[in-house]
Amino acid sequence: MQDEAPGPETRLWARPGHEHDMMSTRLLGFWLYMLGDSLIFAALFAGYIVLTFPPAFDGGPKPADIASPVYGYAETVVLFTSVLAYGMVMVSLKEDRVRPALRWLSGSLLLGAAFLGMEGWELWGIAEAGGGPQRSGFLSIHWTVIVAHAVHLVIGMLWMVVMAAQIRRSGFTPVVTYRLANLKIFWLYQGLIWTFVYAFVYLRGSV
Amino acid sequence: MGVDNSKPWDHPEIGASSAGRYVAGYVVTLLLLGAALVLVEGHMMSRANLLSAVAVLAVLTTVAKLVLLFHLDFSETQRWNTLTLLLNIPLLILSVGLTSWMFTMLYERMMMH
Repeated sequence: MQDEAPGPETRLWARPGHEHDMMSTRLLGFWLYMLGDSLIFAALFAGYIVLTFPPAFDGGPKPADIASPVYGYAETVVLFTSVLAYGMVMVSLKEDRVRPALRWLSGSLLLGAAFLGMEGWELWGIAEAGGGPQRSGFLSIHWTVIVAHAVHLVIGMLWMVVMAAQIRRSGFTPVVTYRLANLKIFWLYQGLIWTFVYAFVYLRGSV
Repeated sequence: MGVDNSKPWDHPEIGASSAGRYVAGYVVTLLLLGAALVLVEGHMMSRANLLSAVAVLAVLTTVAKLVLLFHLDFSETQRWNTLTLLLNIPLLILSVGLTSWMFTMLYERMMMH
């Protein structure tokens, strides 16, 4: 700020260096998208509640029959470990260490794949036992909730592959840094949503 | 606020990343959900209490994740993220809660059971 009275020398525009904070701007925009995404899951959980009243079972399996809390907890451990590995990508980024970042990113990706494998195996078993999504209203919403979350993970894993290629090609450039920070929000958010999937689908059904 | 956009890795958003915090978040969230698992598997309470306990533990897990993993707080860089999340919470509670209320009442009063 200039203290002297306004005159012909007064600057009416911002000084150089007064820029928008690009990192915060990009992350706030992506954060708002994630909050919108959480409304999709809110709608799915509302649907899950509506379709877990007994008439929606239509004589078929109940939540406790197809969702084992212990197996669900094992899935939780795998997914949260993947989230932890992505946290380590951010720590490596902060320390400007490219090779550890790539290793942690691969670890996060593999654990995400392991989680999807566990979910796939679980859904395969339900389908084999005659519990496909068309069997009852409850099974429709069960499959929808699980698959909606899994689709998010697949998109996150594709994003990880792209980021691994971009880190390998150009290192931690500003644009790569922004994207890694957004992917952090996306991947951690899937862990957050899973907390509610686990509580609603695996724990509530066995209460 | 003057910002140097040429070094985004020096931004507080990246600087907030710490291995200790991520590991703490990992351990705390798994312990909270583990407690919920033990309560449910052991059928340690009445049905209503168990549902409340699971809800409370899920909310605590969420708060632990938001603080330890997302680093949400009221600092200059995180203020708007925290505020938009707080404004979003009523939407989540209303969409799930009102639906649940409506259909629970409908089931209890209209269904033959």
